[in-house]
Amino acid sequence: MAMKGFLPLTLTLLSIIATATMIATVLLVSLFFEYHLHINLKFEYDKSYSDLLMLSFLRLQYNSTYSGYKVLAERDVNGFTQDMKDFLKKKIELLGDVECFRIANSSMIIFNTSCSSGEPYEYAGEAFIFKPYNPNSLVEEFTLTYNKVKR
Amino acid sequence: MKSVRKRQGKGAIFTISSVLEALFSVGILGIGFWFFLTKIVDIHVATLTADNERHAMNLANVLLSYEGLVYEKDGKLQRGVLDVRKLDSFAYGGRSQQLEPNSSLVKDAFRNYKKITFSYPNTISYITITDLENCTEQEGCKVWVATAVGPVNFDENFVKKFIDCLVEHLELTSVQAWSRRLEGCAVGAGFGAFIGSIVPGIGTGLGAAIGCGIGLLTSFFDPHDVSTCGVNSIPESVKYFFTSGSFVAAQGLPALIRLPDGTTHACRIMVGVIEWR
Repeated sequence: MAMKGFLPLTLTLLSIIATATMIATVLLVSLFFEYHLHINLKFEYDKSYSDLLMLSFLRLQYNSTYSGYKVLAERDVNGFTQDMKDFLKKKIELLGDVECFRIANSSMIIFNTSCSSGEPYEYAGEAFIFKPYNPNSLVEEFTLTYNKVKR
Repeated sequence: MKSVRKRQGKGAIFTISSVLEALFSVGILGIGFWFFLTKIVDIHVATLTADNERHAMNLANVLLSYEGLVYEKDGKLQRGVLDVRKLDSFAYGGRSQQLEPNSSLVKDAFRNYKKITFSYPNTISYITITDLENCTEQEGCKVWVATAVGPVNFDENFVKKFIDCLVEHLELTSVQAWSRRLEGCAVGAGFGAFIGSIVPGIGTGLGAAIGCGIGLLTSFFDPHDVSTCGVNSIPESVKYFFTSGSFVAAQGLPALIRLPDGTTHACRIMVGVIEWR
């Protein structure tokens, strides 16, 4: 008999919990939709940025005969001098507003620069280049991983 | 005694539950109001601006492969490498301290407006290309600016729609409508007579007649009908007006500029799309 008086309070609490759950669900769904919209756009932009950065750096003109592409493709034959590395570093940093980067193929790091906070990891672009004098494989996959300058 | 205490306790429980219910209802109303005012509008705007951002990205990518802009070697277009000679004829060149053009450069660019033949329908796009390796302390970096205007598409004649709507709402038999028009005529006549008496050569009579005519015309339609017809007649394409501005318009995309001597400069292409639907 004493517990009978608590029924309205219990029902009120239950209805509060049910309504709060419904509101939270609607809010979460809308927040998820908005997040999904933003994250997709950001992904599309970052992909486009990385691909164009990769493309631009491969098309860079190192001197009258060598492009960025040739410098990397023929590095085993012609060498990969400090001057070439400095040139690539300067250009990539300027082109992509890059703080630090790493150029690697599937098995090794070819060239990397140091970051203020650990390793480059934020963005990545990929490209396949033709290696005319490589006895193992005529195609090499390059990955450019980089962090942008924080502003 | 026991039953009185029990009744008092029972009442207290009902009161607590009523207070909780009332507070909860107020809370629900508040959250609902906040949700509709902020989240729904946010999502609606985000959906529309996301389209603009995509259009800006796509347009920037198309421009980086556009034959009127990119360097051509042995009949092959080099995507992402802009030819400086084509750039000079494609866009208006100047200098800017920032990555995005300053206001005087934008003014000059609009004055020397170069229309580009492709863009999205119902859009104006501003294109900025900045040479990051041709900069000076005083003048800033070399910048090219162009404007692309897409085909304007109005699905129907909104003036005709507006007039048709007004004619539909025209009331010729309503006493209230005629009394409003007479009021308008009287106010206009009084005002016109006053002006006519001040301005030599017009006279009170003529001033009152002109004023009555103007008053009659302005009160001929109900202001509410005029505003409703105006809002309903605006084409769908111009009801929303949003600009891209987070990614390609603000940060740009990397590319190269090829100079006549064969050297390449790092550059940044920025495209902002103003779109109405």
